[in-house]
Amino acid sequence: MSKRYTFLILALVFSVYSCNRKRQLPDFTTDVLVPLASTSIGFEKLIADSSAKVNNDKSIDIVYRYPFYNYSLREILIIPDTSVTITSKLGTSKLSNNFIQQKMTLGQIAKNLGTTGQLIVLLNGQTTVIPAIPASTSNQVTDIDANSFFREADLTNGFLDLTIFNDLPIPVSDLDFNVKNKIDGQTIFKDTFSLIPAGASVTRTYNLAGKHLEGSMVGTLVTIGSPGSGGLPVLIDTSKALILQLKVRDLTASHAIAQFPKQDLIIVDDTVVYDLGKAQLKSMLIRSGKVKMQMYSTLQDTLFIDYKIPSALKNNDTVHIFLKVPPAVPGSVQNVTREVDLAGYTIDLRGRSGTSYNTFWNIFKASIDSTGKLMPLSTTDSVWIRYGLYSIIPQFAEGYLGQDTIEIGPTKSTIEAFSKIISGSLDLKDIKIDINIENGIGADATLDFDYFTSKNTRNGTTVALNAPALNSPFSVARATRMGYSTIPKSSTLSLTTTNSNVKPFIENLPDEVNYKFTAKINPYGNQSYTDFVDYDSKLIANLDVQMPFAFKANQLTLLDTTAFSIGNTQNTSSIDRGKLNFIFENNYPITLNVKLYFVNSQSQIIDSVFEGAGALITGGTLDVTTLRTTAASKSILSVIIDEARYERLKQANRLIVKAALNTTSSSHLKIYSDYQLKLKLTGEFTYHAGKR
Amino acid sequence: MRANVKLSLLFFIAISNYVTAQKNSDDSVAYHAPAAVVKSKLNLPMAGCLFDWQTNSTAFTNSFLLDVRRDLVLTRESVDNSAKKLKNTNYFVNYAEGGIYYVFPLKKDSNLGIVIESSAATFQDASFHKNTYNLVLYGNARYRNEKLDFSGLFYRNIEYQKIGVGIRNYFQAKTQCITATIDFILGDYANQFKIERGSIFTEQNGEFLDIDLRYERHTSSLGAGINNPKGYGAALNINWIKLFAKAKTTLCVEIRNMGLVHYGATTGIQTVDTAIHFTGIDLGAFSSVSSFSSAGLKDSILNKFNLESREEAFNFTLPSLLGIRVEHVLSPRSIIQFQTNAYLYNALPMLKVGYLYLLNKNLYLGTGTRIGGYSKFDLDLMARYRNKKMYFEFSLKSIEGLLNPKQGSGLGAFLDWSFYLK
Repeated sequence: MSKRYTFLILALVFSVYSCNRKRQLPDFTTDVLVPLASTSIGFEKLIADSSAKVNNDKSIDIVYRYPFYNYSLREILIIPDTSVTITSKLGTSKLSNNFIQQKMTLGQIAKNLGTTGQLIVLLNGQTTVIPAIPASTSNQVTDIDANSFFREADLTNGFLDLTIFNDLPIPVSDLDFNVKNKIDGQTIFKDTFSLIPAGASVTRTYNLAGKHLEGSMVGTLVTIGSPGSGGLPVLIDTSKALILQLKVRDLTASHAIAQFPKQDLIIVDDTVVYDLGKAQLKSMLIRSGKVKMQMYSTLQDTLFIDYKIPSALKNNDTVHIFLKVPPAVPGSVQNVTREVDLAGYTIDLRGRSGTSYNTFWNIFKASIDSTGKLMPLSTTDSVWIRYGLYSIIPQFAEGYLGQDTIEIGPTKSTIEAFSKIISGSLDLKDIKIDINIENGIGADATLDFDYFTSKNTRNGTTVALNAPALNSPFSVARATRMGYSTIPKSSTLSLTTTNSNVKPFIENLPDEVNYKFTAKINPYGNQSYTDFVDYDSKLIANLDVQMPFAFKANQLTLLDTTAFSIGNTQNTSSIDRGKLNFIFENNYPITLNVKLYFVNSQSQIIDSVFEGAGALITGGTLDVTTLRTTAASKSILSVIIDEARYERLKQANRLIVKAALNTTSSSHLKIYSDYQLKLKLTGEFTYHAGKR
Repeated sequence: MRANVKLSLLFFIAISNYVTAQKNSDDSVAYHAPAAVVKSKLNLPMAGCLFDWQTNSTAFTNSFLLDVRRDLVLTRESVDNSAKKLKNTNYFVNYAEGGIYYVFPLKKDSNLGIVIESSAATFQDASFHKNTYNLVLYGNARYRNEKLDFSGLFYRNIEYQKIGVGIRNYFQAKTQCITATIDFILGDYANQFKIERGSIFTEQNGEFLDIDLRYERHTSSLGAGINNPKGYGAALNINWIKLFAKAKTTLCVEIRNMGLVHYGATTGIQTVDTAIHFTGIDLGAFSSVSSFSSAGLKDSILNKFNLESREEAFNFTLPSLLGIRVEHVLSPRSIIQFQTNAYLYNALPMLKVGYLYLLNKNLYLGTGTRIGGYSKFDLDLMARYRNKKMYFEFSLKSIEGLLNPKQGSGLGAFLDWSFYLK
């Protein structure tokens, strides 16, 4: 059995055994002939930077546009940050009007009136004649408790109305009464009433300005007398009293611990004027920006902020901000900051009157509410508030942009089309230059050209553009608008071979144009505030070169440098040696003589192809009658890539192509839209398959 | 992607693997062999091991295969020598199998026995047109203005283990023996592709290539080892032996390895059925010529082929054969053998004649020659040793390929060693 088990174990070992070797392709060489790349160069690639019009006969008119100046709203209309700062002390805080009533009964008064007083007390409830009572000292004291209204207050203004109603059965006379603070004993007022008939009242007012009031006061009836009942019997009732009514009103305090009523502490209803230089804007649509409020308060009460910009509208809503500044902890400052995005708002800049400009109207109010609690406030309490508009970028603005003169230049712009031509000559059949001004600003303008020159920096030749039209100001019409959309207006100054020297100007093969001119905005003044600008508004100056694609070229030599990398990848390293075939099929009436130079990262030419006489790509067969090619010519240019060259090319990172162009006739030859230069690149090489 | 479309090169992967062996030998009748079995001690359990390996081709020379194996470089001489042997259709095989087996009677003195076997195998075969060889190894440059047809390429590579169980029965006075086993197959890496239709036309200057291709490839989920996805299958083996004329003549008929392996839904399938006209990368602008890259070129070609990839189950058929073998004792010291095989994979039918000479009491030495299979002539050497305790057989195949590797093809070995357990 053990041998059988041994066998089974061996069987299992076999069953799980697996060998998985890595497979790799054996190395061998094979001779490959493959198409590598193909392309064709039609006229649209030759004039890639331009637009072209193909005529019925397939001849081509081409237009090169060179934008040489670009003037944007963003450069001229800058809205500065504008803010308002308010610092408020609490000098004007108000206290509530309050009312206190106290009684001094006949019984209380009689106790201090000697024997007559004692008699009156004894006759309580009886009807009898009361004789005259001479004025005598009473010193009847009663507490006046106002703590429920204020604990203390230093009053800057206010009045106390005292009313004494005589509910006694007899008149009183020679009544001397005063009110004092209970703690510091300061007299609030004192007064004497000569006679108050029974059932009558007397009211007197006392100015409290400058007074310090305590919540606990004492009223003292110093003296009192009476002419008696006048011989008539009267019912003696000791519960009858003199009723004192004290009413404080119109109180303002420099300091108080009091129950303050709801009141506005700060109210600003004002306009803010922007400094926009010469521009006088009536309104603007905000692209981006914000209103920002910063508030600092030492008040130990909640401060309510209400801010409005009535002239800012978005979907018929104005900017209206409510917020609370919580009570400050005693000895500290409470602060709150709030921002509101103004994007999309239209702000009327005509102010409250509706006739101003650069002005926006806003209303700010800070208030406290009645809480029913005693709260300390004093003139040392303050509120500091800053609010305003920040980072405002208008999307659209209208009004009057002001008169402005902008000097442009001396400056230069690069012309790429001719920059790769290093020598030779180009003879154009015809040419026209339009100086095109595209005005996206709703304001008139004029341009005064100082000079316009074409410069060929390769040979240093400069040709000035001369035309009578350039000697006068060139009017540029204003853009029109549709709502908040701007429709640019184009104005063109055309220069032809008959009214200018544009032909030599272009045949100079410039790679630079140098110019200087002056732009005047609103030269005719304010046009009833109808100017406008859009965020995207531009004043663009273009040089439009228009010409039929017909020319004579004589050794017109182009030099172009392009990035080059043959790589050092496994794919290319698998190539031992080979040959590249450049197969051209050309039906342009142009012969090209091509040389290629390979340059390393040190800008050294490390290899060249077709050096010497160059490789000739012959032009198409030309019909001398129609001056049109009738067939393409085929040229095969081969380059041997041996190992040494391959190693050199691997070091190259740029390829310089030098091509000399010659038209195949002495006449101006048109380029037709069906002309093609086809290139097929094929490779014959020994390829290493597999791992080397 | 690249590997998939490098289909015309893929079958050469097989070349690099040729040393890996596989059991499918002409001689691998081992424990079924007439002399070894019929005359053996039937009532004793027997165990043994075997190893069988062969690589052979109607085209590739041993030198070609060795170049691949030794240095991973194919010399031009090797390529040329193999090219000289090319027929219109060419075959290649490389297999190896190693395993153990155990045979024991069901009961003492019973005619019925149980067979248990286990082995690991790898198998690669291919068939290809000579144009395929020339296109891949010489390139298309020599076929300018010529349409080259490389249809008919087939390549298969499968690795598997198996555990088999079966019965062996002696009957008619033990003059006949039939053995039947069923193998449970555990499939590892499997890869198969074929080009049903393929042609290429190269323009004189290489301005364009016209390629027409119908290609299909099946690949098991990659990875080997017990934790990776496997295929599962079964194979049938039947062996019948009959002794004639007092056991002087033995006839053996067998069917071997008839079955398939099923790989599940993760099996990758790639197909191409496209005709393309390729003119190189279309450069948008003239200046782009300088920035041309070979990687971009390759992608550009591959993208044109409209390769479709998906995953679904696939059944890989196992390489199986039908064989008939006759062995006749000419004299007490000599035995002559005749054998013919029909292969259900890429090989021609084979006919073999062999001769064994009894050198001493236990040892036979012999030689054989084969026609078909993969060559016109193959020469084998054989040795057979037997005593009361054991049976040993060893043969070295395709000796001419060993002696003349630059011209000859094929190399292989077979070993069977069994012994009685009591």
